[in-house]
Amino acid sequence: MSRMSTFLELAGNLLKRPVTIEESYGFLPDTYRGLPRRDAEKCTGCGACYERCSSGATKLTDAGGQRTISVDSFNCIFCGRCADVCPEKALALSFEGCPRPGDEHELVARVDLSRYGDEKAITEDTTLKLQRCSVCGGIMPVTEKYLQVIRQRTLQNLQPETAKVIEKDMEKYLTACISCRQKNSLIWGTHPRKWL
Amino acid sequence: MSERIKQSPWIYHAHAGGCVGCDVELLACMGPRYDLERLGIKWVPSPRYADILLVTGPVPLHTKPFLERVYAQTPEPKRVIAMGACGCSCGVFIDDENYSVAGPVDRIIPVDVKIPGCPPKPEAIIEGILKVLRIKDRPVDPHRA
Repeated sequence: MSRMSTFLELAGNLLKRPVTIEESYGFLPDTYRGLPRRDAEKCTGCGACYERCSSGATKLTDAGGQRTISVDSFNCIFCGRCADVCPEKALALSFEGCPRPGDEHELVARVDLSRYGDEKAITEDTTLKLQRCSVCGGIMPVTEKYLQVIRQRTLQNLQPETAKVIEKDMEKYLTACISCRQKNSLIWGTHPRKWL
Repeated sequence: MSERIKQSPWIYHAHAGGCVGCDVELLACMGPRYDLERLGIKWVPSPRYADILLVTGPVPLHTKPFLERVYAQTPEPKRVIAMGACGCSCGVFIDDENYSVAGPVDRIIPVDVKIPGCPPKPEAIIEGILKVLRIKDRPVDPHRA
């Protein structure tokens, strides 16, 4: 009896399709992880991805009043921690618009997963403007967009009567650099001790 | 100029250093799902009759002379693939304080194709191997010519 069932199983294998996938190049599964794509409209330049990057592929460069965030494709290990930690959900690791197995496609590999030796690494760059201090005019290590987001979020989470006071204070201290804030917080009345 | 590789490429896999993630992924390439042998690609146990040298991992100082020797032993026409984030740029081992790493593969021997990823998926490996076959000619290493 067991011999019979073995034979049937073997015969059944003849009817099965092979497990080898037909086209294993140029076509990717949905869950394929590639270089993180950054939505430049959503990105605020907060630097959370830079803090969390495990291989040092993400770099923040503040130069000339601008902050550039870039991911080096040769260093990136596609772990996805930057996408996990991004508060704006601006990062995604999947490929977009690449042919999937089963799509109607030409038999040509079109998704570039490797680079020639003399080619430079692909980088994913976003450039944002840095905030200037409203008092001394120096460049602060925060982007303009990030401060706007902070203002919005903070006011949303407060009681309306507190929000009114905070909003007035924020106009003064949010765009002031740290040393100017130290000097002026008592004059402006934005020092936290007024809440004590 | 060394010629193009016309027939079935034989690959010698040199593990320079690092974890064995890439090497496990190479095994997956030879498995039933991504059967590389159907494309005529074969793993060989010696660089003496290999066409392609596939190097994984960063190159530590103590592997550097061996990698150079393996490269010299590979006959022309030869191609080199650097695989993984470590092979491309030393990956997670890139650090000023790291005293034991000689550098990514392209600092030791000339590299034709780099496959990024940690580890690269079999799709990427197959794409990289097919890409290296498409290279028409490549200058012969002056030290070996």
